[in-house]
Amino acid sequence: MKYFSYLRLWIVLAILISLLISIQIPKSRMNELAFVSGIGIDKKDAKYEVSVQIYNPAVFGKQGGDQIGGYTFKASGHTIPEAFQNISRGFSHTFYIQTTKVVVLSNELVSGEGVSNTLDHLVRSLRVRSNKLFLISRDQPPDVVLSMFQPMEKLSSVSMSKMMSEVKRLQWGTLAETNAEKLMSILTMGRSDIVIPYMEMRGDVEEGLSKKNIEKFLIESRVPVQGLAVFHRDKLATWLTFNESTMLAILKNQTRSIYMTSACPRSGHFSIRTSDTHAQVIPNTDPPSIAIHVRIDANLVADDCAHQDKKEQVSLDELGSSLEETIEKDIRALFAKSKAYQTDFIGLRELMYRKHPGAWKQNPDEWMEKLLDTPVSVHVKVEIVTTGANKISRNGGLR
Amino acid sequence: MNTYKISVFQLCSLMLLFLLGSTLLFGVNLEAGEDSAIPLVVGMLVGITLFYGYLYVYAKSSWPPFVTLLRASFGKYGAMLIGTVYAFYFLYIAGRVLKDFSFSLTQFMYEDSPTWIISLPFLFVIAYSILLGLEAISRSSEILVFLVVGLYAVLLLLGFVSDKFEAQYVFPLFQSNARTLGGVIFPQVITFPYGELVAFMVILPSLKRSKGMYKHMWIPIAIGTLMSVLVVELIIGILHVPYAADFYIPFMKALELITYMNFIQHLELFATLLQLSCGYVKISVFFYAAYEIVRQITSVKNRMGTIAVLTGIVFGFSMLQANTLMSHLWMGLKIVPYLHLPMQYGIPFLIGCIVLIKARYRRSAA
Repeated sequence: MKYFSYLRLWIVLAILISLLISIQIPKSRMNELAFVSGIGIDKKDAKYEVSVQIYNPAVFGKQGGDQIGGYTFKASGHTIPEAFQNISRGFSHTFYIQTTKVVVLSNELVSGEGVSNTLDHLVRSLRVRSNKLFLISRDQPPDVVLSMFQPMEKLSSVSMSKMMSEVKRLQWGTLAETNAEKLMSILTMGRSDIVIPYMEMRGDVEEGLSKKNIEKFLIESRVPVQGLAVFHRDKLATWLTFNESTMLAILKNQTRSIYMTSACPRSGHFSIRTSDTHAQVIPNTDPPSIAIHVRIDANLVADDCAHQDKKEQVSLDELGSSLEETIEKDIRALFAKSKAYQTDFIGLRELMYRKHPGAWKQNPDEWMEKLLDTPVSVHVKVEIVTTGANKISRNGGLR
Repeated sequence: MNTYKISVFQLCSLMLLFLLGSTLLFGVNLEAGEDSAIPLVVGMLVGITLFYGYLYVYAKSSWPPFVTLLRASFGKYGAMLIGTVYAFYFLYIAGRVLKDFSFSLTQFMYEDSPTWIISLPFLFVIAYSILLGLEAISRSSEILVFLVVGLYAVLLLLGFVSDKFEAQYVFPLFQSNARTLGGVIFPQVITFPYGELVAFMVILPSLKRSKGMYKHMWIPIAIGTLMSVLVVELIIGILHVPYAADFYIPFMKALELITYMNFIQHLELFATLLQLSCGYVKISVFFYAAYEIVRQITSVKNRMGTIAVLTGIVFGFSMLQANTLMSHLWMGLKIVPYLHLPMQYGIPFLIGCIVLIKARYRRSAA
């Protein structure tokens, strides 16, 4: 009986506390929120220009088929939060930023001020969750890229997010998935340099901004990912092409299944699809040097090794050797770029620190300065495992 | 008087959840870089030694209640004074841990909410458990331990196999010098969380004693350390040092980054639930220890009234803590460990010496 009265007392207390909590905890109803899908950040005239793309909830309704998938708002401010505040001022809904999928940075921002301030804000803000992707728009302001009509998706930011998921799955692995925490972590360690995927406009901007862009069979205006932007500390240093970026992904053991094309031993071209790649970048201390070993298992998917007399045949080993030369050349070009721009996007210093901590600790400054200039030896082994469903090529060339 | 005797398993469950308590929230010290697991292992060895020291003291003095042990060592008034200091110490730490959890929830779930509104319902649940007695707390921990260990194992597994975990960042190991490691171990790691096991000195007399019980007491300390070590390595592998040390709660941030197929995400919410379970046990143990001391010193019969007053004190202590998370953590990790030292090591060591001298004196007198 005594415990029953206790129980009643505790129930009354619990109800009182629940009431208190419901009054004190800030909350918003679903219909008062505007769910943010993408954020664009630019810097012009010493001010941040922030654009915010939100979902249009009406599009999910029964009559929503013809409506556009979302809206983009833009405002500027001395800081990113101030710009956000200027966007939300006078808007009927509260921006819910936790649903953000992509953050698009402008070329001007990354090459001028650098990315540190922007990253710091996005990591610091409790309202922005970590699982958002970073992309750079090379030739268009972020608000333009976010406002583009893209096929298959109602919102360009969703389209970008899915595009990067595919690039991650098929091409660059985790290199395609740069989040603010990872970038800040590399910048804080200060040994290697960061890379961020970039997009470039293909086709006409005006066409892309109009709904006509997705009302035709032939899509003319797109913003595909073109490669990785390479940084020196927190500022943009240079751009890697798609092929160079793929080569970097191979060196970092991030590739899954990629297509590569190379010249045939005598004439024509052939293509392979990798089934397994494995790379080792080994820094040596005495004498300082870098040894690179790459092993690729591949399937032949296209063979255009035409021969003048049609009798001369090409062995798979010859094709493999040809590809080995191409890859070795590409890797050396990547190292040359790293040296030319003095940016360690390959992560040699980080590797040296992790593999030879004793040697690194003795003279870290010297390693920081000289490691990019050390000689590099490249050993590539390509094995073409299958030739698809056919034993012999169209030209009768394969042996 | 509470006559309920807890089993060895219940005690071990309490100890494990107590150790995990707020440790994984704010007790992860990454100052030693890639070697951050080493202080935890050293702390574990100190913790096991310390706990067996407490057991030794009780075994030598025939398992008296805590205040009786104090009386036997320091006399009636000395025991009253030291007991009161311990009661307030336990209530203060309970208030601190309560504030830890309030801050962590305002960081991850209830942004911009006042911390007291988080503390209040949490504290009421704990007060209700204390009212029900040690049996309720120990049985709760007996159930919770399976949930906590199982869910932690799943979270850690998801973390380690995720593509966000980069194993190369865990190395190189053993690069920190003794000075750096020593600075982390003393006084922080040996006092928090291992030294906090001093609260179990009040609970140990309620243990159902058996011959083999000494064999098992190190297990919860070792499991707790293993889980903490795995969490530290997970954080280093995902966020990397020194950057990981910039976060207030790096474990939560690391979990936040883990996603699978763009579908399984926000694992930090599960960790928050686990932390609440461990926090409930930790605050309950401190609260119960304080309550028992007050009960033994004052022989007050009004159980509900006493608990209500103590609840008010814990809430007051939690409100008196620093208002910003930064100063709260600075206080907790840099200043409070020096307060811990006499309570966790000094006084128990004195009790141990007195008990030993008395035992030797009795033997020689006989």
